[in-house]
Amino acid sequence: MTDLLWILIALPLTGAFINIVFGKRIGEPLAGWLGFVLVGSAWAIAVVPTLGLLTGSGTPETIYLFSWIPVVGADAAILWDPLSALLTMIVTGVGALIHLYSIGYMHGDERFARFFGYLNLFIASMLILVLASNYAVMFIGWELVGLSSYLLISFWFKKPSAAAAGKKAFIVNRIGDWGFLVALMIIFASFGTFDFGVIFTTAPVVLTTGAATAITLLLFLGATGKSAQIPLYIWLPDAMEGPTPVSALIHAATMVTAGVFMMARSAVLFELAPISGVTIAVIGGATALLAAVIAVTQMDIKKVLAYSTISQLGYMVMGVGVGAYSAGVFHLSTHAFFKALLFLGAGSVIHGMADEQDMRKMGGLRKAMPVTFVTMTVGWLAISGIFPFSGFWSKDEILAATFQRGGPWLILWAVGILAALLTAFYMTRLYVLTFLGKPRWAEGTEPHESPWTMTLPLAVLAVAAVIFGVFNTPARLAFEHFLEPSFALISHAEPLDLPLAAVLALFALVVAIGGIAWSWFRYNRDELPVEEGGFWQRGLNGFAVDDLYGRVIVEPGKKVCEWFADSVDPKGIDGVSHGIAQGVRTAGDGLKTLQSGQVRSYAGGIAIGAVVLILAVLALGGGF
Amino acid sequence: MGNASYLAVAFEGILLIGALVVLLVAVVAGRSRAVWAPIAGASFLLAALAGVLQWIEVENGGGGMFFSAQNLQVIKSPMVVLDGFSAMASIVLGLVGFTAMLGSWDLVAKVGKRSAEFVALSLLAFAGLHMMAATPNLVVIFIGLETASISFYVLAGFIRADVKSDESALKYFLLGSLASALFLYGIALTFAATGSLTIYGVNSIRDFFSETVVSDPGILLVGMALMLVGLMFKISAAPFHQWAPDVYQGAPSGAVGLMAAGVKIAGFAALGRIFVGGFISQIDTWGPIVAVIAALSMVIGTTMALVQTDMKRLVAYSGVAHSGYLLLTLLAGVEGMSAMWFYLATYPFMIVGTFAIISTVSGPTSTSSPIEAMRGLSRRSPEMGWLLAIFMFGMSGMPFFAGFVGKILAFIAAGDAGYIWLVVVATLTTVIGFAFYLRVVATVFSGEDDDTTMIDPTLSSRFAVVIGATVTVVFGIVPWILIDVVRDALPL
Amino acid sequence: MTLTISWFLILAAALFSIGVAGVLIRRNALVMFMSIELMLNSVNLTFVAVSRELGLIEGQVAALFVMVVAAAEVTIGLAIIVAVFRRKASANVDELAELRG
Repeated sequence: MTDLLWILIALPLTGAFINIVFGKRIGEPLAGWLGFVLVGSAWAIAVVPTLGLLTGSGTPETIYLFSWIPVVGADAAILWDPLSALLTMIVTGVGALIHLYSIGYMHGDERFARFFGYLNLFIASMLILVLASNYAVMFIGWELVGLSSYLLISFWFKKPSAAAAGKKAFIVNRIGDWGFLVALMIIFASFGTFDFGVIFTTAPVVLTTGAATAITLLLFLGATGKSAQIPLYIWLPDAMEGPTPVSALIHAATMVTAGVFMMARSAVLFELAPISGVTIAVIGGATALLAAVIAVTQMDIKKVLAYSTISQLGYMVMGVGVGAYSAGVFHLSTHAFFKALLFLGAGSVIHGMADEQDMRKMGGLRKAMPVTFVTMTVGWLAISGIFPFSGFWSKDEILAATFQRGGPWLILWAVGILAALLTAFYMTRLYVLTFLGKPRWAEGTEPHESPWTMTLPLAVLAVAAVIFGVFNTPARLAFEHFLEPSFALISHAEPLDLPLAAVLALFALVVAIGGIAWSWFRYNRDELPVEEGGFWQRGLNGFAVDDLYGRVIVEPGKKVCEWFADSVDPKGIDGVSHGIAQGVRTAGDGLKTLQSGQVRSYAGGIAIGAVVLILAVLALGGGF
Repeated sequence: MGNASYLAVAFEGILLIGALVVLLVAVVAGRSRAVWAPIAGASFLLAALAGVLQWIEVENGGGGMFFSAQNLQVIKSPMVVLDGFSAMASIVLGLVGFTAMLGSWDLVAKVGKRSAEFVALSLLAFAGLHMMAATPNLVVIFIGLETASISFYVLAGFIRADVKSDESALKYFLLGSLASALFLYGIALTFAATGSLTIYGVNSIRDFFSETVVSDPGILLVGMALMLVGLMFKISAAPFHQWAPDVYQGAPSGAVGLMAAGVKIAGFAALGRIFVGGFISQIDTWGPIVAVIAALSMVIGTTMALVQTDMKRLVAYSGVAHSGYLLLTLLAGVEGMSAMWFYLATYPFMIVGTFAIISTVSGPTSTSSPIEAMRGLSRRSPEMGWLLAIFMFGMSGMPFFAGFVGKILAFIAAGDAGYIWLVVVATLTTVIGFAFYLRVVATVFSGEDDDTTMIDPTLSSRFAVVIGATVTVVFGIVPWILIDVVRDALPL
Repeated sequence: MTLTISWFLILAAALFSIGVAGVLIRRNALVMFMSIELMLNSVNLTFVAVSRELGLIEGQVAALFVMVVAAAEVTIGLAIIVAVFRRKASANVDELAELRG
């Protein structure tokens, strides 16, 4: 059965090919159904081997497909273990639902088929990433995912902001990718292979703590790009310019979790580098808090969810940093469901409100959009961390793991609790402003419920958001047991005592309810509170981090380059990469003067080179 | 005649006969191009086929040294060697020559009554190039080098459209002769120090190193250094690279692919033969120097390519950087040879394909080819646009293209030899290099909708480009097919 | 005083250096080319001297081959230089620097 797992990747890839090449001829809505059916069948095919792993009748294994670059241990092979199985289920499952949803959402778009082609390409790339059995193939998936993300963010490329957002995501991610690439080089230099099996079993012997720290920090740099952490998170809010299903699939449920997945996959390496662990946990916690604060001030419904995603990713990264890999992955899974649900719900609202995204112009939608309202309620409670919804269990587990480390880690725990309070606050704000209260609609807006292709995925995701949490309660760690084979090579912390765990969970629950209550009474009234002071204004601009980057990095770079270069193409890639390229260009312009065109100066170059070379050979060979 | 083997010299023989037939037909049957197209094509393909036969012979244990002095028992001064290395050179040079000839055919069509000379010179040049890979004798390597170089001097100035062609030919000739003289003096000094001109056989350079304790190696070292200089010039490694961009730009676009690809293959084959075959015991002396040259080539080539506005200059500088990557493979000694042949079996096809496209877009006799001329190529000639993108991706080292695998193998070779710093430099230049390759791709795919002067490539250049792209893509996706083969492409 | 091989090798090296210097210093393409020929001939001297010293025939054969190659180079080289001269009415290489950068 597992021999046929390559079909998982082949199905969406076929869809991508057909939809991109023949899309115009297939037309709407057939192209969408084709994409949905292919991804859905991939999910169905993956169910059986996943159940095998779940029941224990199947074992983790590496399925060899064909040799790609055997010398470097980079074969095309599938690593099928609980971790990859879980991610596969999420990617194909949520992916299929979002394909279905998009059939309704993208109705009438002139490039309908092309959209599904890109979505299918994304699913295939993501599967390559999660199923890779070595870093080389994983990196290829990583890059392909980045490419399809770029294509999808700037899908409405005629809108300048969308094109700019796509470009920004692309450039910011290149910085992260650079870290990943250098990490891979060090890995290869140390191990002589990219193969996970060899690397993870021999890592404790081969790597010194210094090497492990270097590798893991560089890998983490890669993760901060994809998983939108400080300092590289700035691309994700802008990426909301893409169609909403894209935000749900890529920028909430799947691609942004790739960084967390990659770190969980490399858990063995991270275990060897305690300093990296601290760094990662601190950055994760800081991101969770900062993004939550910004989310409180946002007015655009999708921007709230975008910052909320960054904040939740911060939790996952924190989990990885404290060594609670399965807790991080657990939060990744629950978050995939409820955040996809929230995004799709928001998309349904936007769709029904004729593309209105400002929450101040919504309100009272509960009667106009009943299904959306009910499912969004589930999502709201889940992300706020209300018992017994899934978010409660997964968030609690990360916080508990942080608490357990004791000492200065308690500060981090407090940060997490604070972020949880804010999460409950801003989500309630979003919920109340959108669905409750009196309508504040713009003239002539007539909200309507979305078609069934859009509401059905909402319902399915809502069910998942409710029940998925109970897989892993402090009392019954089924999820952790399931993932155990993937983390077999690292030591496990003892789970907390049940009474202490219960007290902590109760505390978190009280905090969440407090946040909800605070927000509820603040916003659920006829007169909305005035939010125009300095804090709100600055928060709305994301505390001007973009400006800061612009002023500190991009502008000086540009200035320096403008000063140096006289005839450069201003249409090139802007921003940081532009600066680097310019520096090199300046050097090139300098070297150009050596290339004078004078044949005698070239002959002189050869003669000088020859003399230096002769002297060097004599010195090295002992000729003196 | 000692131990003659016609198979061992089949490549040279076939191309020589081809060249003579072309010249004869030109005299007897007049000026019809149509006649020598099949002759040239058949010569190259037959030569490649001879390479395959050589390869099979070697695999069956039939390799060895031939054309040696009198005694059959004692192999003294062999002139030709048949091993995996030379057989691979036959196959690669034959196929690259065939593809490059297709790419040059637009030019051949343009030059009218002189076309026979062009074809004959190309065939002779490739015979000379292969000689560099297939002989253990240093003087014969020199003769091969000169046969090719002199032919290429002529090709560089073949079209005297403007003063640039003259300048190109004169620069190539003066600097090339200077480098050849340095190379030859290196041979003479090596001869003086070791008393041998041959790499293998009795009383060879290898014997010298294994039997003699060199107390005063001065002359030997200078000889080695000068040979290195001469070959570094031919492969256009920095700081001996300055001729390449000027010559490539001034030479007719249609001829450059042939020259650039051929010289690169043979130059590295000769480097491998001499330094890995003969001077391997001195690797601690020449290794670090080659490493520094490689680093310089990668850095200078990449930096300069970024500021170019002319396609031919850009490819020339990228060629300088590629020489740097290729030099990495030499550092690993014999273990690096398979990586070198993987690179040499793929990268020249990208050069040939790129120049075929340049020749199509800017005209086969052009002496300038601004990158801007490529604007909107994806619409004006979709196939050429896409295939140029493939070549750019291939050269840049994008995964799923042959250039990527070639680079990885080269990096590994350098890493195995302990040059980690060099691998870091190579990776950085690769990343920076993406900038200029992608700039070309961006240019190809941009431009106004109303710019619709269509370009209709000729059948021959279409073929050349498609062959090149096929190699680039196929060995990028399934490289192990080639890796398994080149594993045996080792010098004796 | 007996003439040992060192004298010949030193003379050849001196000639070779003069040749290199000529290529670097002279502006006339023809003279530059003559300097290169001088370099090739100094190599021949080395070959022959070593050959005689070691009692090997290879060096003398090599010298013959080098002469043939040099002759071939002359044919092509002079043709190129004449072509340039016809266009520019000058063989000064410093005036030929259109290709650069």
